Amino acid sequence: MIIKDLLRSPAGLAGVVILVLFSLISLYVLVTFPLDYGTRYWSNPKYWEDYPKLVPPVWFNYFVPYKLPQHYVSDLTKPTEEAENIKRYVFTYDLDADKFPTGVIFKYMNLTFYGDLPVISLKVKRPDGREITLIDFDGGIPPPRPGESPPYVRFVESPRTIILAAEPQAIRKAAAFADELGVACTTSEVLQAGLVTYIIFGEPVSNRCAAESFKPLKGRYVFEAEVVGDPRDQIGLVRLVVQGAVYGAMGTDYLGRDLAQGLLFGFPVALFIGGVVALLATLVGMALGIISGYIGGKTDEAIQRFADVMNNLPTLPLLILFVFVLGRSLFNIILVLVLFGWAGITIIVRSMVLSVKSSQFVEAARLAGASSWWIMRRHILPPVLPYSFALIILNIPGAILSEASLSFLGLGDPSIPTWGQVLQQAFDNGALQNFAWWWILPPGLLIVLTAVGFVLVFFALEPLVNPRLRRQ
Amino acid sequence: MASLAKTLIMKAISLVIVLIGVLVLLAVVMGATGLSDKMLKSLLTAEVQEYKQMLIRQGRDPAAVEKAVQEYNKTRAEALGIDKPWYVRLPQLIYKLLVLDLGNSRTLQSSWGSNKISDLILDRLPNTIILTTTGITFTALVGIWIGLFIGSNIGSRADRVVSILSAVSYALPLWFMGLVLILVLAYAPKILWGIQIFPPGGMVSIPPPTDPVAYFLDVLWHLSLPLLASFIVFFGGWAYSTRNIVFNVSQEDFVSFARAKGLPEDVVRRRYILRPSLPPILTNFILSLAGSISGYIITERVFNWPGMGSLYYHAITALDEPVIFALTYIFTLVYIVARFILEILYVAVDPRIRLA
Repeated sequence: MIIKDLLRSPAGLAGVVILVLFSLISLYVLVTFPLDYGTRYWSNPKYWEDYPKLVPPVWFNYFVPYKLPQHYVSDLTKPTEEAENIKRYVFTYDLDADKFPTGVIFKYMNLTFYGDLPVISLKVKRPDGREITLIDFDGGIPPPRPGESPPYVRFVESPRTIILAAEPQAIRKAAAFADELGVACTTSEVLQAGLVTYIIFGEPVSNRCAAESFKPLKGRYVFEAEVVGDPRDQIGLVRLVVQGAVYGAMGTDYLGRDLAQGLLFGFPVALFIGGVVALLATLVGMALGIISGYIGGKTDEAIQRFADVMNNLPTLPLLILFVFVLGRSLFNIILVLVLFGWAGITIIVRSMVLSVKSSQFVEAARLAGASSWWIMRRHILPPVLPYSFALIILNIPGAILSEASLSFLGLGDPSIPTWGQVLQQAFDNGALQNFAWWWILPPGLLIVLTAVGFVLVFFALEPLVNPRLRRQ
Repeated sequence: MASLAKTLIMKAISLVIVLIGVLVLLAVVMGATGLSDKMLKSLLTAEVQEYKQMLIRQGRDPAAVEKAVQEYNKTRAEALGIDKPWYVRLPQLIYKLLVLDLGNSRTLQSSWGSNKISDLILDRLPNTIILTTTGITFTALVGIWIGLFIGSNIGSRADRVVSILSAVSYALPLWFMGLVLILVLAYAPKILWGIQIFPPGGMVSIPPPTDPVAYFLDVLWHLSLPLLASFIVFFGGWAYSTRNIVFNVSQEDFVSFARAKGLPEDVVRRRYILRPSLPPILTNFILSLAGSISGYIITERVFNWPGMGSLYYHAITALDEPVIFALTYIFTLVYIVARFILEILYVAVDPRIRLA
């Protein structure tokens, strides 16, 4: 019945929609992300090295007069095609931009070969049907050492990385291809002006050898990496990176981290912290409030004085101090937030208990010989419960905001990405100075939206569960 | 009059209890975490080192110096109480905090290069007070004014807007609003069009203007964004709570009676509604002034405002524990003292409390 009434008010409906949506996202994240995502990926800069640094999201293209190229990272662990002694890895990149990508990087790891050095080559088929062989063979594979017996394993610790703009072979091939397009370029000109990507992705508009002579040729580019050698030869991982200027749904930060992932991981974390803190603080506050109100006398006086003291302290400085002293872990943050969060609830619950306590059914129960414990559990608790539930809802956004504040001061749990920490890193690493709006606005708006969702639900819930308001 | 004194004394006692509670809490934390030991040890090492240098300068023979130094080390350690466990030293710790003997910071310095924590705080506290009092006062005055107006127009469009804004006040952190304003009003015009409309942070330009009037205007210019941020965040809350107070008073029987008597609406509003509404509005104002000191900790960091909040952040990043303890204590102290002063004011303003 309450749920129906709740959904009838527009504020309640809006709040419920936000919260249900956020809970579904949290569930999705819990299912798809590993629990150690923070330490394994998010705080591991090496994992993000091939991602673009500080670029806006893909949809930024809808708001600018010229389209920026998308960043492309793709990994293949198995060959796309395999024929006798040839293994072929195929990557497709769609260029739909008015600017050129800034570079192409080809990487592979865990090369295993048995006999001769395998011949690894890379070529690209352009949308106009032309084909450029960028690398004929990779001369950077260390040959077998004397005394080493097959299988030979190479590039285990760090991958073989070929940056096309600095690879002599690719520069020679690009210069030759530029000639074919009608732009006369020498290899040194291509190297110095950094023309490799312009030649690969461009069509000529004049015959002078300069970046301005090319405009992007839009369409599908198919990159093919080939390994020719013994049929048993293997590559663990092949990666192609086309360096663009926009990436993903939410852009990237200064380390190249995909902000969409960090923000997604923040959903369950925020709801968990808010939910656990509010639940525990309300339970403690409710228990103390009932005891204080029902038993009265010295106990009441002691509990109320103590709650008064806790309620009158400026919380944030004490939160900062305690988290700083105890250490920045999720457990400590929750503990400290509960420690400073129960007092207000105790005071409210006590006043409700006082009014219930004087009612006739309590008196009847006492005359019938019921114990205090029984009366508190069976007669005092039930009328207090609905409002306490509303208090849980009200305390969730407070806890989420407090956690965000602590995180923003650098006191968040470093092993778990939260929205507050994303904001703190943005602020500390020049997001404002670089006008990286995609790095500042979304995490903050998510914090605000979560808080608004809970506050709206509380506003809609309060008149339904507060006996004083209901009578009016 | 006797009851007034009694009320005030009760308030004073309960606030002193709060203060002592905080002191004990801080002292226990400092002792239990070994921080107090660490601080005393570094003090002892410094003293002993100095003594040794003095002896060497006097040209004593090395063996005698070594012996004298060890003797001195022992007597000083006893005097500082470092040989006793921390819970025995608790009263001493509490006393030190109470008399504001806050010790020295590890790395942070005041603007004139002093390492004493009391200097550090004296350096920063006025800046914090400038920021918070202007922020609260400006927002509260406008909010209360609007609230008084819509309190007598319940259900109007303005009323509904304010109700929504008040929910925003609860959910929107001031520091995030600050970030957004800096991004949109300070950096965006500078980066996109090359004009600096608002400063991105700080309290005065570098170098500060020498002319006092120019200096004042420069501080005002730097205050504009923090003020705007607190206005956007807190305005709705102020207007809404004022509206509720006015609305509740206007439902009272004496208001209906005044109307029934045939008094002109204008007189009813001024004398019968606004007058009794003022004390609770004033309480709101007073309490939020007391709370504002710690409410701007993070906002100061966002606006790079050289106040206590920024100091807090620097202390956290520099792992300067003594400063963190001292700041926590000072924040609590300022809050409690402000509460007490304002309680007195409140009693003076509201006849119902004064005469009860």
